[in-house]
Amino acid sequence: MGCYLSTSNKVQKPGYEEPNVLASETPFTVSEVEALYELYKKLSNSIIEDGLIHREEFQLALFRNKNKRNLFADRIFDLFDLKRNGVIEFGEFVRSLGIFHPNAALEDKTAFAFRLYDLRQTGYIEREELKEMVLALLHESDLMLSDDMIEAIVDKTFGDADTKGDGRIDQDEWKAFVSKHPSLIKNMTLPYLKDITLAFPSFIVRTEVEDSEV
Amino acid sequence: MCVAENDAVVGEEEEKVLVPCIDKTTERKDKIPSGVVLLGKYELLKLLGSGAFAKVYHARNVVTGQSVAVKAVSKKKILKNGYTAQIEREVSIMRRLRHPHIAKLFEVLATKTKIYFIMEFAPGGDLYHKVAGEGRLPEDLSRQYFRQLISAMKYCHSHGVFHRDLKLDNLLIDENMNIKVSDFGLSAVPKQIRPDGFLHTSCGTPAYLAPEILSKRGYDGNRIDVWSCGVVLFALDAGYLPFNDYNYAVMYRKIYRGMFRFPKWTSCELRNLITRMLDTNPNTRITINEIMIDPWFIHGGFMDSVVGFEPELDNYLTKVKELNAFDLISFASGLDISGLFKDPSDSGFVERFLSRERVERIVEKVEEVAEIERVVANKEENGCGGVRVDGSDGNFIVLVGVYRLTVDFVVIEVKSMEKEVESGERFWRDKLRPVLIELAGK
Repeated sequence: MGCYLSTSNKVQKPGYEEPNVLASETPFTVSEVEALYELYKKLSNSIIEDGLIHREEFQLALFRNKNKRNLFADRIFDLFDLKRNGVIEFGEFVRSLGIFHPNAALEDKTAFAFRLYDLRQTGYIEREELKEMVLALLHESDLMLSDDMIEAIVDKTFGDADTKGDGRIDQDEWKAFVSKHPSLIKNMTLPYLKDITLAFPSFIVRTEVEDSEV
Repeated sequence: MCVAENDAVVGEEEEKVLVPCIDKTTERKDKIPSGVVLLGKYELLKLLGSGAFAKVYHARNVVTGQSVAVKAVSKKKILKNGYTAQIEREVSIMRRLRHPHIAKLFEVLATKTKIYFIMEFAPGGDLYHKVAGEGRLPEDLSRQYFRQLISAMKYCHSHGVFHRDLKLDNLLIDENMNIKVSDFGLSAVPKQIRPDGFLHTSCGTPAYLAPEILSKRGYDGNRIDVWSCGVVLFALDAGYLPFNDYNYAVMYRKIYRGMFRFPKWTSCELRNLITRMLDTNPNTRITINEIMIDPWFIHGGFMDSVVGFEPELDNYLTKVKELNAFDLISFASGLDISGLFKDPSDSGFVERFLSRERVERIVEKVEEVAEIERVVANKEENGCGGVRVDGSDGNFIVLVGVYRLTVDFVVIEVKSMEKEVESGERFWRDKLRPVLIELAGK
């Protein structure tokens, strides 16, 4: 088996997709997609060597600890796992990271953040969800605030964002709120993606890009 | 006292030319097939030069409009000779170098037969062409360029990177008339196949090589770079190279013996500095740190203003005065997926406090600590309560952000950047943190 794999370039790993196709659907160039594949191989074989990113592998990469569950990291994993089959495949990895590209559309970043914070996927960010996330952050940062103060902070923000006053933030309200506070989607841009080819240059040798495609 | 001349001068008459190479300028105005766009991203505009293994183009990023230099290298020779691992290593080094006087490598593209290095474009051309075309530089301009060169060298040497191939051709001039040293980090790749090898292969002058390289003794990257900087400084001031001859055997002999002659206009202080840089004994040759306190170098006052240069820092501090609940959430570690891209070894740290103090008071405190510890603190201009603290050698950066959360409380956020985290952590743990804890009343 191993012998067969190593002698043929054509055998594709599960979930693998053509870099050309992924480049055409994302802000990445073919070279960047190939560089991301070098990263993907590393991440997807760190615990279970099956070429797919499992939740533990995602946690290991983010926190240096495979067992550390975190509300927000869980949400990101679930959003990356477009097929909802419990693993992040290469195509899902590249398409999702495309949203984090500095050149990606702000609308995509805003929409991604909305889905992220819509913890129970009801199509709305509810007050309870906002409070749950604030509590999680205060807990992980070791910040102590009285219940009254937490309620006040949540009330204030919710009041500002829920302009229709129906007790939940819908996508339009979210868009308006983000355009007033652009720093809210700061996390949706990763400067690292700009020089990804320099970070994982081993693709230079392995590239399958024909000169005619340039 | 001007003893340098007598020590160094030899009887023979020098060739007063910059480089003894006729076909040096190979800039042909080759037609580029119009509309060539590399990987849909870089439109090639003009061929700047070409050689056996590489071509350099001026190109434009079609998305951002940014001008870049593209070095297209044939893969064939590199792969055949097994230099790939080296190229990868060098690319990783280049990626980490960030300095205002080093031409940045933005990214690299590849096809089955070619590698394209996308680099910072310097519209002013290189110092070789400037000196060859306009002649020697005024002393003050030489000093300005030389200081920028030494600043770049100090930065690289402190990161364990040596250039090994410094020459006028590698010193580019940007739109603000500042120096950009090019091809840092690509130095371990054999000369003839380096991305910019084309500029030199036709000529390949050894005029900048230190004597210890010629004699094939083991050598120290620090010291050979100082030698080459000495050759560069001489050439800027004189308008020609200190060691030069059409006959390489003769040139080698001059280098071995350190035989060169200053033009009559070279000032005494400059003669002393160049003589100490072109010391044939690497062990007694002046070092970069000594250069930075040399009388000619510091003439008129000098301060290396580029310590801790880090252009992409903007992304790290939340630029708001007041935090809403979503701002607070965005602090969450699980929302920062940059960990996917990082080596486990480069970890920074982050810590947050609540305080009832005023934002201005906290910023003042941070500045006080920085002053006592003799590190540089810079306030954000936008009044958002951000302070950036730089270690004295650019060895660490600590960012402090202060944000209003409620009428009573502010959040203080402290982050250290990668780089040498240890010294940053020491400053943080032993100096700054105790002060903030007091402010937080924790």
